[in-house]
This record gives sequence, structure tokens and C-alpha cells, in this order.
Amino acid sequence: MKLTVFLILVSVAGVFASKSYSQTKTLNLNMREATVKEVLNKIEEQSEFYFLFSENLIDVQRRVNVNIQNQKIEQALNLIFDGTDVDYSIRERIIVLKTPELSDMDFMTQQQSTVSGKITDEEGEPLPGVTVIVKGTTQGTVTSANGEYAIDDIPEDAILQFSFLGMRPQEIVVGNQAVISVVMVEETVGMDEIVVIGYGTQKKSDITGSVASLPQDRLEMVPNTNITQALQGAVAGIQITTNSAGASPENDATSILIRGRNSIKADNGPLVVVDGIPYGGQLSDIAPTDIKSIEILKDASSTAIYGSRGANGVILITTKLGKKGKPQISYDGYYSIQKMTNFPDLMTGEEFYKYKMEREPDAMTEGEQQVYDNGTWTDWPALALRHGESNQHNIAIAGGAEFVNYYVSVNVLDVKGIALNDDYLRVTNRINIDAKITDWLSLGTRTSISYADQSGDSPDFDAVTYMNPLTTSHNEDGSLTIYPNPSDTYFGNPLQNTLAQNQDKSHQVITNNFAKIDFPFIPGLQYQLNTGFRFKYSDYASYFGRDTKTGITNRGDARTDRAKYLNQTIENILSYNRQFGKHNVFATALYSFEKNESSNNRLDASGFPHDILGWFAAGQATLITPSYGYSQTDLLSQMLRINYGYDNRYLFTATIRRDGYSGFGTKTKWGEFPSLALGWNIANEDFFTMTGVINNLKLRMSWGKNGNQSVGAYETISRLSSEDWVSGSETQPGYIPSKLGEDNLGWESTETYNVGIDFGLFADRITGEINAYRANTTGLLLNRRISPIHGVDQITQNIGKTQNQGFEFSVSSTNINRNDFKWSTNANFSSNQNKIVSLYGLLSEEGNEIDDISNKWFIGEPIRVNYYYQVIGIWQQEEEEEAAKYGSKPGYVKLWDKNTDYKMDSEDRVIQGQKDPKFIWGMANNFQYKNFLLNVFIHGVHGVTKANDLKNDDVWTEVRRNTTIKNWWTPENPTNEFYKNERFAEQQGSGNAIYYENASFIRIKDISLAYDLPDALLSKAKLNKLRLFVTGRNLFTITNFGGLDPELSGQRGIPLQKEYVVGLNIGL
Amino acid sequence: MKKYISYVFIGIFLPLVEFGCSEDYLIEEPPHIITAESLYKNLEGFETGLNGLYALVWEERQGRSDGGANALRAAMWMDGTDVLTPNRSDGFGSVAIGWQERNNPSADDVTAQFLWLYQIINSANTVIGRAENPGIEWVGNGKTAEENKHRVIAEARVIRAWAYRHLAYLYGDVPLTLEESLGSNVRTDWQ
Repeated sequence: MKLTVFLILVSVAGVFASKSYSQTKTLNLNMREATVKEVLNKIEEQSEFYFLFSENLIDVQRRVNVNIQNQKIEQALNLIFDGTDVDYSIRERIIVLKTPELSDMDFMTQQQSTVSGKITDEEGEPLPGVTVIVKGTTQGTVTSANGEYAIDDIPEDAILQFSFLGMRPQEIVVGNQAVISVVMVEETVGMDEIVVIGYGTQKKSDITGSVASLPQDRLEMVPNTNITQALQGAVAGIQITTNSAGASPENDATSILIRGRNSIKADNGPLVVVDGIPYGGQLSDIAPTDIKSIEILKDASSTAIYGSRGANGVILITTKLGKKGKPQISYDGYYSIQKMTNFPDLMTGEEFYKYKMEREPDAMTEGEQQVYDNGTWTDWPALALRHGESNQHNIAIAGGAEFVNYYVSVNVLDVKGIALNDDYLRVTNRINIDAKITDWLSLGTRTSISYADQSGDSPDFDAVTYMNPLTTSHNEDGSLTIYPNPSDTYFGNPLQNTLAQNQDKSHQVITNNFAKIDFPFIPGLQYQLNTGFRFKYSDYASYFGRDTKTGITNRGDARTDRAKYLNQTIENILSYNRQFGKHNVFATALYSFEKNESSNNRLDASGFPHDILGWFAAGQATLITPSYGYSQTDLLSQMLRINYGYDNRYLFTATIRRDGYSGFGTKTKWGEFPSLALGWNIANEDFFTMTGVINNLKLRMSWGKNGNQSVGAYETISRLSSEDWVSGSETQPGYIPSKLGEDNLGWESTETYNVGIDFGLFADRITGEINAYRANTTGLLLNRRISPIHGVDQITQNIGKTQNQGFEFSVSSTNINRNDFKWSTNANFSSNQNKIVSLYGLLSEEGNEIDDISNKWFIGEPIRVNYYYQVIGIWQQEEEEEAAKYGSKPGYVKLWDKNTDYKMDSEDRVIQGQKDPKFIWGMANNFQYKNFLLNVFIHGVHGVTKANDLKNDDVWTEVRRNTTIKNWWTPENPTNEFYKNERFAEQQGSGNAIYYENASFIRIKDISLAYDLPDALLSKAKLNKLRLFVTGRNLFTITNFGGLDPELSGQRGIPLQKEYVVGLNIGL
Repeated sequence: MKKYISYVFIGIFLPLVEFGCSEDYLIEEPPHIITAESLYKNLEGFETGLNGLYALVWEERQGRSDGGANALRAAMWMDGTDVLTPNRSDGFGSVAIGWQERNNPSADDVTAQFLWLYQIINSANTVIGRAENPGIEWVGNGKTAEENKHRVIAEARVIRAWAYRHLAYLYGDVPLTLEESLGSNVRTDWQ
């Protein structure tokens, strides 16, 4: 309540970037008898202005007196050049000084070997002050006020170089052209790039933390349904764990790991912030085409401002906004065909028959025998998969006028996945506006409305891969059979899900609105009020009728689930940004409040009188079970950050954040998270002489503590759960204690040290960064196993310690750039070592800490390891005696008996590799020749070991399930690859065989070929841009893993798809 | 300069003051969760506690809820004794068949039974312990407060004794616990 009152009372205002630098920047000069050159240098020191002039034409040795206080640049220049014929023009931060002689260029006669022309920018505005030089000579000139130039006595084979600060330089061969006009394109290069950091922006050269930007080409030209696909492999240190594939993969923030796994029990996903407001929704609801840039904050210094949620890294997403000028209308569309990359080699009907007869001939049922005799066996995977296709259309309008910038877009994505009935439709609409109301007040909004429809249930692929092929899938009339094998009615038709009525829709509104005030009497002080509001409603319903096994067994089975999610955020941000001579101070203070609420009602019903109405007839069902869920969390925070820079050489950042979170225990509601960072721009030092080669060298060091909120709502409260009792025919409610409360449960705390170097070589031809880090996480939330004597055998406490240390390297280089050919590369490589340092603190007799074997957590090993008996081969005929000692025989699996005691028990289990990767790398190569563009993106993951869930004969007693075709051991084929086709061949004593394999892979993720329509044709068609592209995704994979896919964590699900895309980008 | 500093301070603290006293936002009040504090306040609450106990006792004739549908809990009283021996190695049957090798704490059937019995004991301790709290509404069912209170405690005690009896017959000497388990009295030194 107080909040709303405060909001109404405070009228806030601010100025946004639509006001130009020259109109806001004020100068202080007090100089007597100084030369003009000295005055201009002084102005350049105090500001970001840069003067461009020819010393031949302008007398800079003239002495002047200048005394101004808080004046704008125009006043200063008028004062300096008063009484002279020097004129100036200001373009953002560049000031061109010229004399009237320059404008006489128009009257130059056209002589031979004279070249003239007009230079304009992308919007067609003339560019004065562009330097035009004959390459290799000192002959040259500067363009006039209307962008024109002329040079005479040009040699035959001359090349003209056009350069202008802030724009991409161009070289053009003169040949026999007499007129060469050029359009200069803007380019923010390297260190002057503005990067979004938390609660503000900074120049890349001023950043002290580890912030990586996603290369732009990962967002364009590739068929991304959500941003995790764009992030994969493109930024050092990011690992995406894909749980499943499909039309809309459930890739959420929880599947992104930045710099390794910190937490054992809690969530390891990073915080996602969209347009400044933390976003708790699904990433698939944000259209990738609306995104202007994605920044990833990795180390403690950059994430400390997010305090209790920064430990796992932060992903900052910024959506697009228009620029001043003509409205740019663009259409982006693509169409793609999808096929699966790989599917396990299951046995066909014939192979299965042979297999079963070998294994258990007596178990062959009548139904199976009949199918075999008729030759009508079924290929279930072929029925469950189809050719997928998807298309996306995006229309966006961006533009701006004097006081308003806007971006409006509509995006429609329609995916028909490769699994039958797996459809996904998403429609999003976005409106972004920045409006400058007065000099000191500006308002803005970032609003998006989205609708997602995932109706339609696809087959259960686990059931599909296990389904017996000697069965019938369809009846004679074409409908699906209910029991594919009439002799074994335990198994229903795995395609039955496609017959269910299924509805899965959701609507979401995100609206982030802000207001900024620039205090008029205190230069550099700004107040911003940020409000974020997100509302999502999801509606799920499904009904299985009597044409499915589930429906028959339950006499109709329905489930409905309606959920509502509400997030509200209010942030007060006060920032002060000022340059005092060589000192630069940027301070930010924050006070924010965030509330997250979700509630859902669910209904399960069965025993329907008929199937006609589906779930709508739930009122007439015999068994109805409703349930309600609710959750609310609140977060109060204060934050202070100070950035100090001296002369662009020495940088210092300190932050502290204090978070109070409702989910923490009553004794530990508040946490403090500090951080410190230092930066040193070595290349700007006077003593640094290698600027020719190394034009940028920056050393960064940071330390910080942040938290992983990890504790969900209500975790710290002791609770009872229901245990109902039936008396006679009535259910009596009952409750028993199920969870012990813990009033000092808090966040997991991560302390990170990071050292990094940013470098740029050969005038930013090669840029990159190297980072080395170590993160220690303490107070891990672990379910400590306590003695069952308590009645509850576990309690959650903050006790564990883990460590992640590693190294990241990323580089961007322009390898070749001559004539019309350009080749550039973006590559990144990261390695991470993860280990558990301590668990429960219990020591053994020798004083070493005890591992938690039942959970597979070992001190000194990574959090996720494989721990089981090791398969070392198959018992061969010659080893019959040895095998007998284990109760085994030739053809059976040979497991390693670690302590050679001829018993397979818990002592013989060994650690077999880790489930999280050791090395991840990605490399994108861009080739450009004239109007053709080729982009190849390769991604590799190494050091992973996974269980191959397809390499077993888990067909159940009586061989009722299918398995993959393998190289079984037989006396004639004494292989070591796989054991005999016989019951119990997978056992040795009380050990079972599980094959753990190296799941490292290299995958050519995307290959894109694009063609841009040449400028001549574009202007005829009155278009700004026309690009046609074809892309292939997931085309080639190199791996030794025998399972479904080394990238997926489940081996019996929808396979990953290959995509062939054709797309079009039009700009008007 | 001073004027500016004071403006800055006002700018920072004004909003802080506004929100400073809203720290009660952080106290959780779940409308959908039952805690011991909220339940055991009257006869009805205690009756549900007893119902829970009876339900746990009934699990004797059910399979283990953690996936062993064939793992009948009562099988442990019977398998491997002179009374009967199983022919199928499911549930406790597999321990009974492989007695030498499998009768140890790594067998799920052995540990699950232990936990279940102590779960009954802890639930009973909770009822017995909290019944002694002052300010409970015991009147109801047409009986006096004394009668209800004693009946509730008695029923809980019977079930607790039943559980201890099974524990002693199955595992021999076992620790005696008569207090409700709380997060604050977790111990590792049972005798």
C-alpha cells in the first residue's frame, strides 16, 4: 500500500539517450594566454569530444583567453573562434573545424586523374570531415560541409582510403572511375563498445569484472526457438544440459550452467534479467528476434550486485529499440524441415523373434507367433516419428523521432516436431518505447504479450523404444489397437497418447516500465524508478478415452491443471556519473522489492460414464481428486556500487548488496554480499610502447561473495503431511510429521576469485580475453541423512562445500580482409574442474572425511560422478574356472572385482568418470565474399561419461520388451563387446552390468550460407536490405557414445533433430 | 557542495524510509501447509494425528510405497522363519533367500522397515508430547476433557509399544526415543 502511495507522490523524470551528448555535456575552462591547441586538448581531456581539423588551414597557435563555467560546447567554441572565419560542425562527439576554403570544392574542374565524390552515412546524410587519402602517400583531403571531396593528380593504380572515427574504414580502387561516392557504416569497435552491466551500462574499457557478450551472429540466421540454443557453445564457460528434444524443448534457465556446477541439491541455473527486471518465467516465451544483445556476467564482481541470486552467474537480456530516423520495417522469416539425427538400432520383428527363441522359447505367446507367421510386425519408432517442419515469421518496426524511440514487433513461430503430435505454436507481440517528456524526465516501457500453445500429446518414447515389435499397431479399420499384443495386455499401445484429448495453452504478459529523472541542478545525478510486472496463466487439460488402455483401465482418465503466476518488482535506482578531470566516478544505489506468487488448482478424475465430453464431464466421474498448490516469496534488497576510474588507466569497483528473503530461516533472513575489483588498462600507460602491436591490454582482478537463493519457499518450516486412514468405507484424514524445521537455514554462499586479461592486437584485428577463476561454495544445502531413529531420515542443512576452478579463453579475429574477401573467427574454450570439498564434516578413524556413498558424493571428486561396478569384458571359454569362482560362466559379463575377494559387493564399486564436462569449446567461422556470407559454427564437449542405457538386455522375464541389436557373445563369436543372450548374463554375483561410455562429442551445429542482394538492385527495389539464407543445424556429429545422443541426458526420449532451414530477411 | 550532498542523501534515504518498516513482508505464512503448531490445538487435530498413526500401522499389509509393489511389509515377520520361505526373490524374499550375503544395511528392505517403524514412533511421540501442552481444547465427542485426553494418549502409546515390539523382535536391542524429533535436537550418538 505504501508503495503505491509513494509512487503516486513522487513524480519522477529523467533524460534518456535521445538527448545528444553535445547538448548535455558541459565544460569548465579557465585558461589565460593558452594556445587554441591547448584549449582544444583540454576540452578533449574533460569530455569525450574529439576534434578533427587540418592544422594547415586553422591557426591553432593563436593565443586566447577562455573562462567558462558549466557551458555547453557550442558556447565554448564560439568563444574560442570568435572573430575568426573558423566554422565548426558537431556530430555526436566529433567536432570538425573548417574554414570557408573547404566549401569551394564545388567549383573544382574535372581534370583527368581527378577523383571526386560524396560521402554519406547510412541514412543518406552527408558526412563532413571524412579523411580521404591516397593509400601509401600523404596525398589526401577532408570532406566538406556537404560531404564532398576532390583529389587531383591521382596515379593510375591508386587506392583511396576513407576513414572516419566511429565508422568502418573503407578502401576503394580508383581504376578509371572519376567519381567515387561512398556510404560509411557505423562501427563501435572493441573497447569503446557500450556493454550492459547490471543496473546500467559501461564502456567495455571500464569494466573490471568478467562480462561476456553474445556474438550477434548467433541470434540471426539460425532457427532458435529460445535463447539457450543461441547461447550454446558461443560464450566461454556456458554449458547447456539438454534434458529432452522436441518441438519446444524444456530448456529453461535451469538447464544453463555457468562456470560449472556449484550446488548439489539446489538449483544451479543463472539469474535471468530481461530489460533490468529479473525474469522467472520460461525462456521459450521470449522471442529471440526481439533481442538486441545478451550479456553474461560470470565473476563475483559483476554478479555481486545481484547478491543472493548471483552465485550461478547472471544473463542480461536487452530487447531492441529504434534509433532516430526513418522507421525501419523489417521482415524475417524462415521455414525448416526437421529429421532426427540418430535413433537407437532396435530389433526388427524378425530379429526379435530369433532373439526370443534363443533366450526363452517357451515364452513365445500366441499373439507374437501369429504376427511373425503373417510377417506383419511393427516398426514402432517409425510410427512415432514423422518429418517435422517449422516456420517463423517476424515483422518489426523500429524508429524514432526527436523525443521518442520505439520498437514494435510481432513474431509467430509454428513448430511441428519430429515426434507425432508434438506441436508448438507461439505468438508474441512486443512494444518498446522510450519517450523524453521534458529535459529532465523520460518514461519508457518494455512490454510483451505472448501466447503459447502446446496442445497435443506425443507418444511416450520410453514406451516406444521398449515396445515388442511382434505386435500389431493398427486394427483393420485403421484405428490404433488398444492392446498391441492380445496375449499380453499389460502393454498398451505406445501411441495411445496421440488419441488423448490434450490442451496445453498459456498466456503471458510482461510489462517493465520505467521513469528516469535527471536532476537539473546536480549534473550527473539520475534517479530511475523501474517497475516490472509479469503475469502468466497456464491451462492444461487432458482426457484419455476408452480407445486407449489408460482410458479403459480407469474408465476414462482426466487431468486438468490451471496455474497462475504473478511477479512484481519495484526498483529505485539512484546513480551518479561524473567526470572530474582525470577522475571518473560512477556510483549506483538500489532499493528494491520483489514479490513472486504462484497458485494452481489441479483435478484428477476417473470413472467417467462416457467419453463424449472428455474432461468437461468431470462432475459425473466417480473418483474426483482436486488439489491446490500455493507459493509466495518476497525479496527486499539494498545495493551500493561504486566505480572509480583514473585517467582511463586505473579502475576500481566496490559493491555491496544486502538481501532479505522470505524463504530463509527466521534467524537468517538477511545476507550481505560484498565484492571488490581492480582493473588496469596497461595499454593506456605512457610506458607501454607496444601500442602498434598490442593496442589494448587490460588486467582485471576481482573477489566477491554472492549467494544462491536455493532455498524454496517454506523450506525452513517443519511440516506434517497427510496419511489418510480408511475406516469402514470412509476416509479419515490423518497427519504425520514428515519434515523437520530448521530455523537457521540460509543461502549457499560462493566466494569467487577471478583474474582476467582483455587484449586487442593489431588495431583490434584480434581481440580476446582470458580468465582464470576459482569459486568456493560453502553452506551448501544438503539433505543430511540422519538416523532413521528420528522418524524422519533426513534434514536439510547448510553444510557442504564445493569448489569450481577453471580457465576460459575467447578470441575474435579478422583473419583475412582484402579485396572482397573477409574471413573472421570467433572462438571460445573453457575448462572447469569441479569437486566436493566437504560434506557433513564427519571424520573417519584416520581423520579423513567420510564420503556419502549412498548419494554418490565423494570428497575430492566432482558432484556428479558415475559410481558402479565396472564392466571389463566378457568371461571367455578359457576363463571358465575363474568365472565359476564368482558363480558365473563363459558368456557372462565380467565385472571388476576390486578387492579380489570373489564377492561382488559394495566394496567393488568404482568411480567411472563424471557426468559434467571438463572442456567445452565453440568456434564460429565467418566467410564473406562480395555478397555471399558463410557461417560455420562447431561446438565440442569433452570429458563426459554417461551410462549407455540402450546397451542392456532389460527385456524382462519372458522377453516382453524390445532392446537394441547388439553383438552378443556366442561360443562361435567370442567377443568382448557384449554378453550372451541369456537370462542373468548381465549379473556377476550381486553385481549388474551397466556400460559407462565416453559421451564427448563434436558437433557441427550450424552451417549458414547467405546472399545479400547488391546495393544497386536494392535501391531499384527501394529496399534497405534483402538477405536470403539457408542453414543446416546439427548436421554432423562426431562421437563414440552409443546411446541416443551424447547431448541429451535421457536416452529414451524424443531424439535431437537435424534441421534444414531456408530464410529471408527483408528491410524496408 | 554541501547543498548537493544533502540532496543526494535525501534522494537515497527517502525511499528507504518509506520501505524500511516493511520487513514483515519476509515472514512466511503458508496458507496451504500443515505444521505441528497449527494442527495440534484441539481434539480434532489430535484425532487426525491418531488417524495418521493407524494409517501407518495399516501399511503392514501393503507394499512399500517407494516402488516395491511386491515388497509386502509384513513379509518380514514371516519370510525366512520356520513358518514359511518364499519361492520368488522379490521384496524381503530376496534377503531371506540370500541370507548370508544380503542381510545387511545395504538391502533396501531391511532399512525401509526400520525407518517405517521409527516413523510410527516419532509420530506417536509427537502426539504424546504435545498432548501435555496447556491450552488444548479437549472437550468433544460427548466426553469430558480428561477422558478424551487420556484416550488419545493411550491410543498413541499402544501403537508406539507395538512398533517397539516389532523392532526388538527384528533387530534386537534398539535405541529408545520418547521425544518428538525437531531440527534442533538432531543427534548422532544413539546408544
